[in-house]
Parts: sequence; C-alpha cells; structure tokens
Amino acid sequence: MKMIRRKLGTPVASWGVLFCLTAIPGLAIGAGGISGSVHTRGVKNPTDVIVYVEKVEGQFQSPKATVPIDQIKRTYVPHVLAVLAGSEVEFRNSDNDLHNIHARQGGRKIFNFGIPFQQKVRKVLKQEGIVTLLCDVHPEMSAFIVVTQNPFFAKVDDKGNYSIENVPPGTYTLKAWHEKAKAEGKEVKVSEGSNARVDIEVRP
Amino acid sequence: MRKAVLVLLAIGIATFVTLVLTENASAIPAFARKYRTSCLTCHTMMPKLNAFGEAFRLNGYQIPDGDEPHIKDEPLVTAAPAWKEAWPQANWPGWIPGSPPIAIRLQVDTESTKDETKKYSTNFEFPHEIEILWGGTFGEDLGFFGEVEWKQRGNMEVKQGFLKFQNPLEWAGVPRRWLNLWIGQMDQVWLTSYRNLDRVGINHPLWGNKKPDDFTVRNPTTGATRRSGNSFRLQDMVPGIELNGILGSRLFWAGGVTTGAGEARFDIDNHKDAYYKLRYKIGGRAYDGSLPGEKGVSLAAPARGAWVDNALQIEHFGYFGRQRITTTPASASRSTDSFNRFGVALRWTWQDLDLAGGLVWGRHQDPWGDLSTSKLDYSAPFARLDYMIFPWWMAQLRFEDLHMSSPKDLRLAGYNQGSLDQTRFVPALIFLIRANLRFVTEGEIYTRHKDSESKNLSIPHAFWTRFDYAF
Repeated sequence: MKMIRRKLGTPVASWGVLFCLTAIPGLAIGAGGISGSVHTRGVKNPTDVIVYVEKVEGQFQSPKATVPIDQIKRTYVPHVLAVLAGSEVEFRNSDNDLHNIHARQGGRKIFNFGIPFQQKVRKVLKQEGIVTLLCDVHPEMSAFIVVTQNPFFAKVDDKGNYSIENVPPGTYTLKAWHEKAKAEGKEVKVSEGSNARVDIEVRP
Repeated sequence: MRKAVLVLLAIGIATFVTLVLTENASAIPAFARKYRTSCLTCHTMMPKLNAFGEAFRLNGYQIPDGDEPHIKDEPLVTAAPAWKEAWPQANWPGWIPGSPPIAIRLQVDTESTKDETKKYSTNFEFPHEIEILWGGTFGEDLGFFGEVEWKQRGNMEVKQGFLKFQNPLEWAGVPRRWLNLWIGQMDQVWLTSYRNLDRVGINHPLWGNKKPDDFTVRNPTTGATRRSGNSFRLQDMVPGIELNGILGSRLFWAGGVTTGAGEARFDIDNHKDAYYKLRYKIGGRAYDGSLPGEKGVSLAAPARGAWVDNALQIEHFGYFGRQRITTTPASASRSTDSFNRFGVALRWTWQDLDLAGGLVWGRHQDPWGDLSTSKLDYSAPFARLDYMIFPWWMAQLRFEDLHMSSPKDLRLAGYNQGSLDQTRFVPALIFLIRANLRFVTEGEIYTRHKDSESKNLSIPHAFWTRFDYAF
C-alpha cells in the first residue's frame, strides 16, 4: 500500500499550495502559515488525516488541473484526499477488473457509475463536505474526499506533521478530519509573515 | 481400499488442522494470535483475567479506545466501514478473522480421593477434558465466543456460544459503553471476586456448584430416601439475553433473562428467569480500560507485573427463578419451585495480593413438591486469597461454606440423615511453566461434611494435580 501511495505521490498538500499560488494571485505576499503535528490514537491509519481551515472569507477559484484518484489492486489510492469545492476529480481504474464509483455525500448518493478497466472518468465535486467513495463490485473498497470551502488544507505526512501555507492573516477555526476519529476545532490566529503552530489530537 | 482412503483422509485433515493452527504462531490461542501478543496481556495466570483482560472482555473482545490498530492478523473485510453511510440500502460493514479464531485447551489431571473403604485411590484422567474455543470479532462492536467441550467420562457438548453486540444504540445518541446486548449461551459471571471464569484452581466454587437436587434425606429405619427436585445452580452456563453497560467508567450494570433450566438446552416451562448485576470499582484500571489520571486508555502494564491493579471492588447480584421440578420419588403432580439467589462480595487487590470475600444466599419456596412443605434456605459464605510469589508462581487459599436448610417435616417423619452442609479449605499452588501451560496442585480439606457423616463415610479430603495448556 505504501509503495502504491509513493508511486502516485501525495497530491493533497501540494494542491493546497498550488491553489494559493495560482488561483489567488498575490495572496502569497503578506500571508502566513499554520503548521504542527497531529497525534492520533486508536485508529488504524494515523496519517489519513486532513487538516483544514474551516471558513475563509472570499471566493476561491477552482483549479484547472484535475485531481486524480485511482483504483489499484482493489484499493482506492489515495485512501483520503482533500479538494477545493468545484474541483474536477479524475477517477481512474488501473486494475484489469471492473469497478464502479459509488459516491455518497450527506447521507445520499451523488453519483454511481461503472468504470471499466484502464479507463478514466471525471466528475466535479461542487458541494462542501465529506464524499464517501465505495465500490459495489468490491465492498471491501472505500475512500474519502474532503471537499473544502477554501484551498487552505493539508494531509498529514508520514511523520504526523502538516503544514498549510499562504493563509491570509486573520483568526480562523482549524479542523481535522479522520474517517474514524474526531478532533475539536481549534482557534488559530494567522499573522502576516509568520507561522502559527497548532498541534492536534485526534481520537475515536 | 475404502479403509485406506479414510485413513489417508484422516491424516490429511489432521495435517491441515496442524498446519492451519501452527502457521501463524505456535502455542498461543485465538486472541493472542489475532493481536500477536502474550497471553499475559489479559491473564494474570490463565484463565484468570487481569484488569486489562476484564476491560477487553467487557468491551466485546476489543481493545478499548480503538481496537483496529492493534490487530496484527489482518481480517478479511466483508464490507468496508464506509458502508455505514449507505445503510439501510447496503449491508452493515464487517469482517471475518484472517486466521481461524480457534484455540484448543487440554487438562490432564490426577485425582486422589477416598473411596467407600476409606482408602485413597489415585485416578489418572489423561486428559480430563479437551476444549475447542473460538473467539473474536466480526467487525467493529460485534464480538463472538464459543466453546465445545469433551470430557473423559462424558459427551461432547457445546458449553457456550454467544454474540456481543456492543453499543447497538450508538446511532440513537446513547454514549459508547453505556449499553450492550449479549445473546447466547454464556457464563453470566455472577461474581468477579470469585468466578468460574477465573478459576485457576481445579474445584468449582461451592456456592455455584451444589444444586438442591443434590440434596437427599434418608430414613435410617426404613432405608427410604427423599430427594429435592430443583436442578438450578449458578455455575451452569445457560442460554440468555443480557443488557449491560458501563456508566462513568467505574460502574458496571447488567440485567438479563435466561431459560433457567439448569444445564438443559431447552426450557422446561414458559417462564424465564431474570437477574441483575452491579459492580463498582474504586481505584485501579476502570472497567472501560482507563487508568486514573490518564486521558484515554493506556495499554501499559505496571512495571511490577500485569496482575497489579490496586483497587477495591464491590459487587452484588440478584437472580429470580422458577422451575418445574421432579422429586424422587416423584410427586403426584409436578410442582413449581420459585427461588432466588443473591450475592454480595468485596474484592481488594493490592500489589501481589488479591483478597476477596462474600456471601451467596437464597430461598427455594417449594423444592420438595408434595414430599414436604418446607422451604429451603441456601447460604454460602466464601473467601479467597491469591498471592503472586513470582510472575510464574501463585499461591491460593480458599475458604468455602455451604448450608442448605433441612426439611423439618421430613425430619420429624424420620428422615433425619442427609445434608449438603460442608465447610472446606482449598489450598493450591499454581505454576506457570509457560504463558500457556500451567501446573496446579490443589487440596480439598473439609472441616465439616455432613453428607459423609450420614452415609457413614469418612470426610472426603482430596488431592489433585493438573496440567492445563492451551494453544
């Protein structure tokens, strides 16, 4: 699994930075950052945590590039990712096997389509929230997409750290999401040119 | 030719079973295999559970505060946890264990008892008993456990088999651990201070072992006998449904119904017996697995040893039953005996010491049917002292007393012999040769045994040894 992830890369954190630098020109100048460590306990995949700023004033333009999520050896890769609302996600099937993408959000199905082997299908995720991905053909498969209001998010790295850059100065609520665990929202004050450190504990 | 095929088939099955059971880890039972951990994580000295093992049991065979990260034997996922989102349009998530969750336990005994000639005879029971045990989880919050037992002088039988639905109403906002549903044939675990489940010794606790229908009175003049008819005893594992939970981490509660038919698998009337249990623990590891002053559940064992749990426990249970009885000789019409049992106990654990004492008592309204109008009062005080001399050597001393009141009218009618009253001390030394293999030496020393007096036998002191191992 680790090997598969390495092969595909970890696009989430870099997407966040990329959005800031390209979609909101000029924001990087005078912005701050948030970083810290995430301590998880009682969960199986401790690095499958998305840290994000809950609400930032303004409109954020969707990125032009698609965000990939693949199905490899009957596993969604990556298992967890985050995208800005309005982003286009490219669903891939790298298996020699039929899969389907059964996506649910807020307790209802948002789409469900078959995806033959070695094919790709693109979908735009408009609504903020957690999108759960299932496969009816292989019920053991699942993945999650955290659709955020703004591009200020990061996935925790292998060492349990995260870093969100180019955040406009202000006071925000920082949240963390894990499929089986929760964390209390933490208030964070971001100042121009400085980095705010926020450590988070996530538990079932 | 056919015989040869059968022999080859038997060898094949035996080889397969051996390979399956020894491939992943040798000489450790199902839970140890699943978590790749020692028996001593949960047992002081098997089968006696330590405080962490008790929290694991109460949590439906899951490590409290997050079971999944500890599972080393990857289960086969039948539906990913994310399918919860699609329920009821989809199946609820779950898994089946990666390896067969099976363990085998053998007990090899010697037994030295007095016979009718008042001489000691020693009997080898090699083996005394073979148990096939299974246990695990079918996904989050659904545990299972079972046991099939074969005895040297008995049939193979299902001793227990049950499911533990943990937190079934969490979706409705009921906090975790407040409410669980256990269903099946199970050990109702009346007193943790002194329970069958934890029996490191050989003899069953007297308070749970003797039944009213063990009670026979005899008329020495005519030789006629009268025997009571209720086969209830607390020791038996009976089919039932139990609701239980942990409130505030230190108060355990339970209430349930059982078929109440003793060891019988089928109820003999329409009535269901009912019971309740309450336990409170001061200090030590709480029932939810947490330790005082620590946030969440720590799996760390005390440096001195995993058996150390400095705490005081207070517990109480009540049982209300009714049973259609058959006396000997049989009454003209079958009677129904309403009865109860209550228990109260204190258990104090401090460093290497585990001291417990309590009383089980109760009353039978009509155990003699038409033979007598007498009620039967049941009283059984007990005390137990366990001391860990070394991590591999435990000393135990038990004191047990039993009193069942005599039927006065039968006494007056000349049936003045026969009693189940007895007082005994049971000293034992238990040696852990390996974490999964122990050797027990145990004595039964009676200071009072009225039944033997009535039968003109000497007091039946006894001496036992046992090798007990599981893999």
